[in-house]
Amino acid sequence: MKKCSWLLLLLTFSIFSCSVSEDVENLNTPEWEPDFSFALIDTDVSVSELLDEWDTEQTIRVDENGLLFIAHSADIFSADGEGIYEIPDVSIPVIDSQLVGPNPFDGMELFTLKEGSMSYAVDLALAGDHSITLRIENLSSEGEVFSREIVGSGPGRLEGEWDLRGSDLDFRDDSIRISYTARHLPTDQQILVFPFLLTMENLDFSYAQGNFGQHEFEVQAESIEMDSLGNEVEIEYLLSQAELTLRTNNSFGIPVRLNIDELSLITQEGEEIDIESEVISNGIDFGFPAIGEAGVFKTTEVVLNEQNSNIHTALSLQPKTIRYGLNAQAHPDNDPDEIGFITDSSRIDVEMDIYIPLFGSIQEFSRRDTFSISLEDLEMGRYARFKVVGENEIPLDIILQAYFLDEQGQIIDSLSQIPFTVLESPEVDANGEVVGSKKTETTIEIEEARFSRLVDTESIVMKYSLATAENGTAAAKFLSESKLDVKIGLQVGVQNPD
Amino acid sequence: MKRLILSVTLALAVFSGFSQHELGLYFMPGTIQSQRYNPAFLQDEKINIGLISLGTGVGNTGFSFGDLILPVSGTSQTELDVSNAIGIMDDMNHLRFRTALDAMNVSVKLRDLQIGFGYQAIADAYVNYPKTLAELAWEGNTQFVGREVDIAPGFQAQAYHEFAFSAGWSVNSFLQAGMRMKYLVGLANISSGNQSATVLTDPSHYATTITTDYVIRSSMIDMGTPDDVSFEFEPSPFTQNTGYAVDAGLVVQLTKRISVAVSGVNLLNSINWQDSVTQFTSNGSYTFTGVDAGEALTGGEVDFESTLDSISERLEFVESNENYTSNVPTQVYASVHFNPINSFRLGALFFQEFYRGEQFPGMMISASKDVGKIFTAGLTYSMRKRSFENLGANIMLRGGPVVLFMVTDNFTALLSPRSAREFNLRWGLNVALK
Repeated sequence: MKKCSWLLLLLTFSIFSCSVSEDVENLNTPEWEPDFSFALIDTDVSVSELLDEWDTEQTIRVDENGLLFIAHSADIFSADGEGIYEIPDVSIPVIDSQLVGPNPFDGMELFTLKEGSMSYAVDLALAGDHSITLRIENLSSEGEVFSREIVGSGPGRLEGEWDLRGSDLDFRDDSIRISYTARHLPTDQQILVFPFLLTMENLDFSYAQGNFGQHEFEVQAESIEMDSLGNEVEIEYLLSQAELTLRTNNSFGIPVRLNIDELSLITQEGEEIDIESEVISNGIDFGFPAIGEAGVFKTTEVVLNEQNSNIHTALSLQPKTIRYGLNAQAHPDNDPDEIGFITDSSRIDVEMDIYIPLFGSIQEFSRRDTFSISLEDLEMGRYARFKVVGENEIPLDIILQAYFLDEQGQIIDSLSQIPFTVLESPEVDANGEVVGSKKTETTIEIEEARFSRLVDTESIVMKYSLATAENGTAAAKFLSESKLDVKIGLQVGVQNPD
Repeated sequence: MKRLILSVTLALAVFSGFSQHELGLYFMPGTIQSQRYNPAFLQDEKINIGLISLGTGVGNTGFSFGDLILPVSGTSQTELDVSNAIGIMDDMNHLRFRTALDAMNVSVKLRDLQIGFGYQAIADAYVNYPKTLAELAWEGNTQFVGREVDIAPGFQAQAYHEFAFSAGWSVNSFLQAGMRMKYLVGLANISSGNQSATVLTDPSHYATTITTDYVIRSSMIDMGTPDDVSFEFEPSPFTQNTGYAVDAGLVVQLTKRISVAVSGVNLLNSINWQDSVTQFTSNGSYTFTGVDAGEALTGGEVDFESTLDSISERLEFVESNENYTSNVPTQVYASVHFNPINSFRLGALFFQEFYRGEQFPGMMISASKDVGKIFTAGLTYSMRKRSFENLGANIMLRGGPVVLFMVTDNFTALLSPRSAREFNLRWGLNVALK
């Protein structure tokens, strides 16, 4: 059946073929010129997501209201307990079996020792074995008063040493109390021994309490460069909310005062503006933990703002550098009755933050990027029509232009005759708050006549400009969660693609 | 891409100029094969044997060869004009191919009753393709921005055996009735089940949504896997793919010279495909809104691959092996026959074909004349869907009990193939014993 069927078909096709074969032989194939429309880009990105990538230095941060601010932060001073107080070596002659003497560590009340030893030297006049039991009421370890027995034979000198690590010295009654009992064993008689010398040496504390006396911390004048996006983008800031904050974190249990000898901002042109404020003119007294709060950090913040300083005037000059000179003093009032403490981990850190809210206007911030690209494949194209649909919550107009350059860097053509607004800023109210979002729809067409020229393109220069609303005159607040939604579609006419 | 589109279009054009089953046979009462249109058509002879008969037809309602290839005026050159062919297309276009071999048709007349048995091997192919598919491929999707367009072609190609048992009864001198029961054995089938695939290009920024509810199913044809599609026929003379079909008809003799007939072919029919069955199903929707360049803006990389993967996953064909059923075309005929003289017959036929949810109407008028006792010739004119210029012819030669016939509904296709959209031809050799 199949053969017959195919024969029949063959017959009909043969008749048909004879008739049309000539047509097919002389056939001109047509141009294929379809027009396609498809989506290219669909991007929804928030300011905070953009900053995660762009602002690697994290100079732009977000405050509790979601407002972006430029932050210049620096650690301008740090100190630990080293040098504030060192326990001196002391020798105590035990001149009686019950000795009550003055505090050998003047002004100090308590020590918890992490290093140090106590040695003894006692001369024995009698021959034979001796036993001496020594007790020091001020010295204890784990709650037990220090009590040791010294055994030796006379005549002659007995010497020895005890490790005091982990021991506590307590002089809160401002005296030292030592007692001993010495026995001559052959006669079983209680005797006095002389000379009997105790020496505490190489002592170091993990905790010390008392009056440490005045101490000057060494601080040098330094300067900080204010490199940030804020210097790249010329923003006309509204600085009414700008602040400079000095923040101390202190775990010393003693009063410390920070004296600001110099605090100034230096502009790009070298002009120096002193920051003046009553808040800092008399020094800044740090908060400090009370006795019993060892290990606790107390934070003190001093904020310089428009109300208490000339900081906004200084910042308005777009400074490049912050210069400062400081000194700090423990027990600044030298009150002998001030009792405090220091631990071996006590420290003071002073940070300075300059907070400049991104609240202002941008007249025009332009940027240009060049990238190499070959558009040889455009031979297939007849025209292109880009459709940009944007919804913008960021208070910026974004204006774009692209130039197509040939191998010699000469401009072949531009994307459009004049730069065009890709995204328009939403409305901004009198408080700088963005009102809703702004939808923009733009069509950019590269007509057939221009399209053919672009095949020689070797590079493209993209130039884009940013400006706040109303031609850059409207001041606006920039919020971290503002979003940019950009969709780009392309209509393209192609010809004879294989 | 261009080559592919041109190849497919040319292939369709080559088929255009031909048509499917032969209506002219309806008006050839001297052939046993005419009973296929109406089992109430009873033969005059006591015994009729259809030894062999072969018919083939092809048709394309979309466009003709001449619609696609146009002469360039003033030259001997021709021009392929796809746009012209597309412009001529209907919203939905159909491509048909059918070949049927009749063998050993036998009918025996016992007084007023005629019983018969017949066998046919049939290969039938059907494709419908929306005009939008051609427009999309040739002209692009820009014209459809904002409009959801259907691009899914539907198709069915199947081959099957048909074993028919018929009975016709001359109830009285005015009425004849007949019925044919057909047992079908499917040899192979490949067809679309649900056939919906739409493309919507959003006017905002041309985001494209593709939605599919499309099933491709086959029996006795190995389609490979969804990831590696291939088509390999697994021939077998007999399978478990069985089915049935029922024909019924009436002839009413209004006067001595005027009669009317109505019939339905394959009124009820179904083939259940269960041998080596594979189904590929795609049911999903995906919208491509563009590449998320935000990843690039925020330090990541634009991941084209995952975008493509997710499109592929959403629209992926899933393989299953569920049995399914298919139908064969149902035809309904109504005709008037007028014999002004004994050797001259006039007839008019209205018919409607129902297949895969669509209807294909048509009509034919016929005139035939017996020239002596050995030769009969006839002419027909028929109109079918989007095809109105079909002149047909039929001849029948009798040599004793031997009958040789040939019929076509569109011999003009041979004379003017460029403008023809369909063609068919059947010939046969019968034996009729009085």
